[in-house]
Amino acid sequence: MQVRLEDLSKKFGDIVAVEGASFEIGDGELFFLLGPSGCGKTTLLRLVAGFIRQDRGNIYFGDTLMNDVPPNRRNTGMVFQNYALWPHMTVRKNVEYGLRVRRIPSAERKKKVNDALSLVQMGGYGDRFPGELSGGEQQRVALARVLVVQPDILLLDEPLSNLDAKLRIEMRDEIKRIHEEIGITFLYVTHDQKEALSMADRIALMHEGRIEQIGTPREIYSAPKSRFAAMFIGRMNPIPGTFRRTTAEGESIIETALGEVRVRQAAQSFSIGQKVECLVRPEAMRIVTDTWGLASEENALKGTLAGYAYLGEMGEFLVQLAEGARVRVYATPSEAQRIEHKKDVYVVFRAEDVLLCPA
Amino acid sequence: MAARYKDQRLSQSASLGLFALAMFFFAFMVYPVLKVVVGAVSSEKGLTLSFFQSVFRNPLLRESIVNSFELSLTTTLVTLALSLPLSYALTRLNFAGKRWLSALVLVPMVMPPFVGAIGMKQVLARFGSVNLLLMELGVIDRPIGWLASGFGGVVVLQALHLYPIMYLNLCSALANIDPSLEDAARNLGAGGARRFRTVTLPLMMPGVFAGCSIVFIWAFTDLGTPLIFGYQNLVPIQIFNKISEGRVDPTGYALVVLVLVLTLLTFVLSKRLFSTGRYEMLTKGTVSGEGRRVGALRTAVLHLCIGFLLLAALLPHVSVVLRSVAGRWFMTVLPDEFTGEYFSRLMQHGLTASSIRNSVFYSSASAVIDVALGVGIAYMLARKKFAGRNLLDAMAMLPLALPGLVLAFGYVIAFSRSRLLDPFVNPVPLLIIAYSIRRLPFIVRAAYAGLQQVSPTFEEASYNLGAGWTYTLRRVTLPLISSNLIAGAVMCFAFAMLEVSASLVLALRQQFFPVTKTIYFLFNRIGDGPSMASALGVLGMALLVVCILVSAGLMGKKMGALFRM
Repeated sequence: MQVRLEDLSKKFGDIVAVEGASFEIGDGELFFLLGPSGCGKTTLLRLVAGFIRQDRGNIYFGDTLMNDVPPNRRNTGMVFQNYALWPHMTVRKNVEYGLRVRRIPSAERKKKVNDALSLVQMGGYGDRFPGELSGGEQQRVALARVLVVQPDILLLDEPLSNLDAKLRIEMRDEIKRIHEEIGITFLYVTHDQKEALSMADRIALMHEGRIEQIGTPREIYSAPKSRFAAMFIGRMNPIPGTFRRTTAEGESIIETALGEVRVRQAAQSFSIGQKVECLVRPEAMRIVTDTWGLASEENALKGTLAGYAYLGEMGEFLVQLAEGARVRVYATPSEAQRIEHKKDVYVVFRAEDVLLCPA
Repeated sequence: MAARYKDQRLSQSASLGLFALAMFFFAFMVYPVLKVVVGAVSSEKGLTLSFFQSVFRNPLLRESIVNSFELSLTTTLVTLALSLPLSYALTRLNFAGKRWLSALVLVPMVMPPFVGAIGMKQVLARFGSVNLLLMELGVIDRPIGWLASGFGGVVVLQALHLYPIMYLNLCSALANIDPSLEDAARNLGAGGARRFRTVTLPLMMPGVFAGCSIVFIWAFTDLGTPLIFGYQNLVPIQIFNKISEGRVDPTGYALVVLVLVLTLLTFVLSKRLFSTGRYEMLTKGTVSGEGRRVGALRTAVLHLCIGFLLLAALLPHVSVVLRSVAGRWFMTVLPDEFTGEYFSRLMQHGLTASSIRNSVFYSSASAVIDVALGVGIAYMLARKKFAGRNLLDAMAMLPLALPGLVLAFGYVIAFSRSRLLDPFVNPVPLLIIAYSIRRLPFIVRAAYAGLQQVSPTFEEASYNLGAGWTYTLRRVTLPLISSNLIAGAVMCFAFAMLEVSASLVLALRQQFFPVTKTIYFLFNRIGDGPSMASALGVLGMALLVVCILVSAGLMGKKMGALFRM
């Protein structure tokens, strides 16, 4: 089922929860709402579910306008952050509930419940009570409970936030597998960017009630359209500077306290002398200790090593560039070992890896 | 699930507290009751069950037992039928005037039914206001004998007095249901009625049951209301009569013991039903927002229904007010003349002024004792595992099965001529203790219900952060159950003010009379007695209202929590 939102807005008192959200979710898409807590993503989800009524705007499922359809007639399946399993019913009764509401005959009901429970690998737990299950098991039951009614859209509200790290990663794969298996539209709310980047077909990044950017994980990560988007996803090293000029090749030259930085991005929107920030991701930077290759680098800034963290699969260096400006740089383990005990270093990076934004 | 978290060990201070509790219960409950029980099973020839046989052989007592059951069951069902829709409407719906109404519906709880009964008799008498009004309007042409059997009158008055207790229990159960549990049902397609039947109501069951058991036992052991209505063939009145005849009658004791065993069985059974711990919410529910908005038409219907309920519940008390200012009131719907004379006579009357002072003091003291004892007991029961836990539970609940007059009479027997507590010399300590013990189960239940729905992990988190037992109790546990506690304390205070049976028996000297005893004393006085009693009743009610408003002022914003519960 395709979902279309038009200028959806919701206020709670004076607090703007969602403001002018307009976008479309394709049929069968695994679509993420990503943002820091309080950004309005759960409100948006609850608007789609129908638990709250928008102040303005429209919600369409396919071509049907859903504004006045009560939540129990929307045929969405919601997985709650706390799972919301009814503590007075067994797992089977919980899962069976939606089928009873839909007056499915008993024999068929039994089969569907069994299928759903085995889909989430919880067959054999039917007679337990939710209080007797672990968090991960409750999570699976909560999934089974909504999948069994074959909803048009699955709504997931931070479904993995109450699980431990290892289980969370397992459940990511599990949810992806289920998505591929049943092929319906998923609308998934999370504040965990790794979850979103690793699972999503597309992501809507939210900030203070507004949609900041919509795109594939790759677009969101490598081409953030705003400072917020750049800083929220992954890590960014901000280097302050002043916009000086545009070269013949279409590159921008930024003057910083450490020297000039070349940026591939054409900077039509900046005027000469404007304060800007150069944003570079840690993995786009490299540390070199010899000076002889520097001439061929597009950007090279001098600094001193200020810290090192061993992270197993890589090393993270902290480089003090100048007064106040510190950058993080990732290195492979072998590289790290080589650099670890040096003091004076150069940080090099390509012009196309620099993102420019107004300071 | 809860059992898994229970701490096996008791700290030294907790053990000490338990010991003190045990001594308290022994001295003021077990010992007096034992005197009654011993009186019921011993004769000159030693142990005997013959007094029980004579209870069942006596047709009057047999009828009284049946009547009492019928009465209290009917009252409970009527109360439940009133409170279920009421609590749902006032917690889950949002409509104009809701705040006011949710405060107003509690008013009948603090209105003494004992005083109301005086007014009710006036209103529903053969030539009382209701009949006269209906005849004037031409609805009926002959007066209806509303109070012919007394049964209907007592049920109506009890139900209209007790529904707020049920309502509060249901509201707190509703408030404790995590809203996402209902959202989940809605999301899966369940409409309002089905959602209520399959999710909301089952999750409310602990609250429903708590409410029902309190109301049932209250109705069963109520002495004041039937006494004023003259509905004699009930167990409490039979017991009261036997005592007031002045002769220690073992048959009366046996009757009491039967009641005791019966109620005890009910409680043990009920405990079994709801102690599986499945009702513990995985997350603490909060009332999300203000509930669903309803349209103008439904708002009007809600106002009409709740307004009618309030009118019915307050009618007896309104008529008490009328009675207290009526110069002449005979064969008319409303009094012919009004006068403030009875009130000014009250002021000149030293007895009434002192009885009001007494009542405020007794009630406050007993409410304080109740909160302290109640929190301690509920905490032990909900969170600790120890030898004698079931005994403590039974002790805390026993007063529900213990008619106040029996407790009081046990006190008179047990402590007369004792050096410190002789009620003939100074009944104040015994009165306060009697009030506390009588209302202890309410606050234990309120606190326990709160604790049961607060996951112990909240406390564990506090211990984990280095907080001690008392700090955790003060900063984590108590705030989480504060709405239950505050409501419990107000209930204790209000009920102590209205306590009838212990007051009638224990306050033997006029200087120690509480309000209720003075009202009863005045009611039986020929001449201006009933009018004076009404005036004092009005004063007492006004005082009660003031006390609650003052506490509302003190609590500020939190008062909302009290009335929303």
